[in-house]
Amino acid sequence: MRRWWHGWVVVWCAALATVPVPYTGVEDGWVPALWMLVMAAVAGAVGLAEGGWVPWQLAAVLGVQGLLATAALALAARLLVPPLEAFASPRASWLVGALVAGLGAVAWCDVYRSPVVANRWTNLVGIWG
Amino acid sequence: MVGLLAALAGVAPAGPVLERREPCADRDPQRRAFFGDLHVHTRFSLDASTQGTRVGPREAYRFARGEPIGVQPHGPDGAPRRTLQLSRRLDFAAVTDHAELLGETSVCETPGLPGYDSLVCRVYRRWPRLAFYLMNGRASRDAPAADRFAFCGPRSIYCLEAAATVWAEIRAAAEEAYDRTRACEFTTFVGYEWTGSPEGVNLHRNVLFGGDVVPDLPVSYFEAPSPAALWRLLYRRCAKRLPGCEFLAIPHNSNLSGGLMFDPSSNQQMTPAHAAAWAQAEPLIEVMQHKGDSECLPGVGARDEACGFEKLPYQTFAGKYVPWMATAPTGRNFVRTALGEGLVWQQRLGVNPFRFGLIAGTDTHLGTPGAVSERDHPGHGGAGTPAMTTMPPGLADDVEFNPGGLAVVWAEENSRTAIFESLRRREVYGTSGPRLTVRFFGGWDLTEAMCDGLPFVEQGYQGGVPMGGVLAPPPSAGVAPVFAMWTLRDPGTEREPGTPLQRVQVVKGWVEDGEAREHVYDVAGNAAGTATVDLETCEPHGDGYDSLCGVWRDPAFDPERPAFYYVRVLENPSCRWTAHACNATGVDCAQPATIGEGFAACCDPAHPRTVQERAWTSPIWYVPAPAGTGSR
Repeated sequence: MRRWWHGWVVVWCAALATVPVPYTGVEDGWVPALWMLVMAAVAGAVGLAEGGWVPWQLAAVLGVQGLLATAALALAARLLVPPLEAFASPRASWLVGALVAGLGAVAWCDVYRSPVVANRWTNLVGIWG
Repeated sequence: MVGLLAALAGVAPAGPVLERREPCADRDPQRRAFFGDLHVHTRFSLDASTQGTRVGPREAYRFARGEPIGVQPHGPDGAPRRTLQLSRRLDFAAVTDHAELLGETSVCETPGLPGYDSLVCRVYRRWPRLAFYLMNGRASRDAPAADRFAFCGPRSIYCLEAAATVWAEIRAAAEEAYDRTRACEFTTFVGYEWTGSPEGVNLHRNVLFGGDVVPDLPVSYFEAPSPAALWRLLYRRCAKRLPGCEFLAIPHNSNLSGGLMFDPSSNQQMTPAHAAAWAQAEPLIEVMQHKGDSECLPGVGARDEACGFEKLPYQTFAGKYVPWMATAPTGRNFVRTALGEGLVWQQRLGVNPFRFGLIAGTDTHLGTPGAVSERDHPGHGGAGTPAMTTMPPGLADDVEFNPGGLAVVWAEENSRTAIFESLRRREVYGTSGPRLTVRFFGGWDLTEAMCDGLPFVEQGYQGGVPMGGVLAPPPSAGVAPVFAMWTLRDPGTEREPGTPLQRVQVVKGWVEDGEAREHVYDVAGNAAGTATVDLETCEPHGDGYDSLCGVWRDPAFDPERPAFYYVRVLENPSCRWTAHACNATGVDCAQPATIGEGFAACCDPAHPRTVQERAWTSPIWYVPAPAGTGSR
C-alpha cells in the first residue's frame, strides 16, 4: 500500500526543528531553522504592533536566513532520503523513523547557541529559553 | 563673550551651585584629588536589565562606598552568584541610567501597570536579549522619528508616569547616599545618560546636575533629537525654570561615533553662538571607559606609539554586531583630533567649541561604580555578553573591552558644590583605572625650582593656571609658556600593589596654516621604557618611579597660534585583565588542551596581554589676542 506521507518530508520537518544551522547578522550562533523563523515572526509582530525600523530589520535578517536554511534542509532531505529509503526497502518506514530518532537525539545534545537565549552551548530545550 | 553667545543659542552661562549642608571639616584651599565614577548604569537601564543586572541605584552607591554587593548571574532562588567589593572606596559617584526607556523597562517589570501584558513586554520577559534589540533600537535608532511604544498608552502617559517614579527613586538614592555631615565622606550627583544614536552612531552624553534641584523627568532622545536640542531643553527645563538647577553634559565614546561626535553636521551648523553653547554645556569629555579609549588613534597626527591603547576595531556599534557593517576607526573619532579642531574653530569663529576637560569612567552596566581592577574584572555587561543565570564560558567580557577608568577632580572639599565647580572649571583628569595623582600648571613665570623644593602647588596656583585653564596673555614678547607637572604613582593595595611610573609626557596641539598639528614631548621619567612584566605571573620587572616632576618650556611656541597642552602619565607595563583571567584559568598556549571554551583570545596575538595604564589631564589652552586688540 502506498504511504500517504513522504519520508523526506517527515525528515525535513524534524530537521527544521532540530538541525543546528548557523546564523549571523545580529550577533551569531547555531540554531534550528524553525527557531529563526519563530524569532523573525516575533520581531515582525512587534513591528506590526509598534512600527519602527529595527523590528523589521531583525525580522528580515532572521527570516531570510531561516527561509534559506529551510530551503537547504528541504533540498538535502529530498536528495538524500529517497535513495536511502530505496536502499532500505521494504523497511523504509523504519529508516525514516531511525533518522527522526537520530535528529531527536541530536536535540538533546548541547549543539545550539544563540546570545538571544543562552550564553553557552545548550540543547533544544535551552535554545527555546 | 562666550557666555553671551551661549545665551543667544539658548544655553545660558552657569551660575554658582547652591546647596544647604554642613560645612566640611576637612577643607583644603589648595585642593585635594577626589576619585570617582560619573558613568554608572543600574537595572533601570534597559541594556543592563536585559543582561541580568538587578542592582539598583541604592546598591550602586553602597558599592561605591566600599560595601559588598551581589551581582548576576542569579540562581533559581534569585540569589546572586557573585559578590563584588571595591578594595578602595570612591569619593564620589553618579548613577547615569539611560533616559530613553526608564519608564518602558519599569512597565514591563511591574505587574499591574498598564502595558505590562503588551507583546513587547512579553518579549522583554521571555527573551530579554531579543527585547534589548527591539526596544533599544526603538529608543536610539528609530527615535526621534518614532513615537514611544504603543503600549505606553495615549501620549505615552503610562511610560512617562513610570519613568517619573524611577527618576524619583534615582534622585532619592542620590540624596540618601550623599554625605551632608561635616565628615564629607561621599558625594553623589543626580544624573542620567542621553542616548542619541542617529543612524546607529554613538552621540551619547551623560547629564549631571549640580544639586538636588532637577527637572521632573530627564530630557531624552525622544524629545531632543540632537545635542543642541538637548542643551536647549535642559536649559529651559532646568536652569531657566528651576532656581538652583545647574547641569553639564559629558560626551562619551567618541570612538564609536562614526566620526560624527565632533562633526557639526551631527548637531547643527557651527556658528559662534552654537560653538559657545557647546563649550558652555559640555566642558568635559570622557576620554576612556569600558568600551575603549578615545584619546588618539595610532597613525593619525603625531607619531605616538602610546596611542595604541584599548582601541576598538570598529567605529560604531553596528560594526560590532553586524560584521559586514564594521569599518575601521578614523582620527575624527578621537578627542585629540577634536581638541585640535577646536583650535581651528577658535581661529575661524573666535570661539572654541571643543574646550574639553578630560575625565574617564567605567560605564559599568552591573551597577558597580569604580570597579576598575584589571585583576578582578567582572565584565561590565551592557554591550557585552549577558549573564542572566550563568556566566558565559571563557572571559568575563568581550575581549576588546576593558574595566574602564576613573574621574579625578581637584576640589577644596568633598561636596557637591566643590566637585561640580571643579568639573565646570575643568580642573579634573582621567585615569585608566589606577589612582594616580597628577598636578599640572601652566604659566609664564613658573620655574625649574618648583621640582626642587619650592612648594609646587602654591607656586602653581600663584604663578599660573591649573589643568583646564587658559593661559593669561604673555607678559612680554618673545617669552614662551612654562608647564609644571608632578605625579605620584598609585600606591595600590596589599593584594594589588600599584605599578611604578614610567614617564610623563606633554601633548601639544596647535594650528598651522589653518590645520591642526600635534606633537608629543617626553618630559620626565624613562622614555626608553625598559621595564617589563612576566606574562605568566604578572610580576613586574625593571625600574620605575614612585613620583615624577617636570618643568617644561614650549620650545616651538608661536604667540600667533592657538594651542593646547595636556599631560599624559604612563605607568610601566602591567598585565591586562585578559592576561590575569587567562593565567587564573591555567591557559598555556603551548598546550592546546588547556585552552578552554571562550579562552581562545588568550593565545591570539591580535589581543595585547599587557597595558600601560595612564592618566590624562585636562588641557591648558593658549589663545592669541585677536589681531589689533592687544588683549584677549
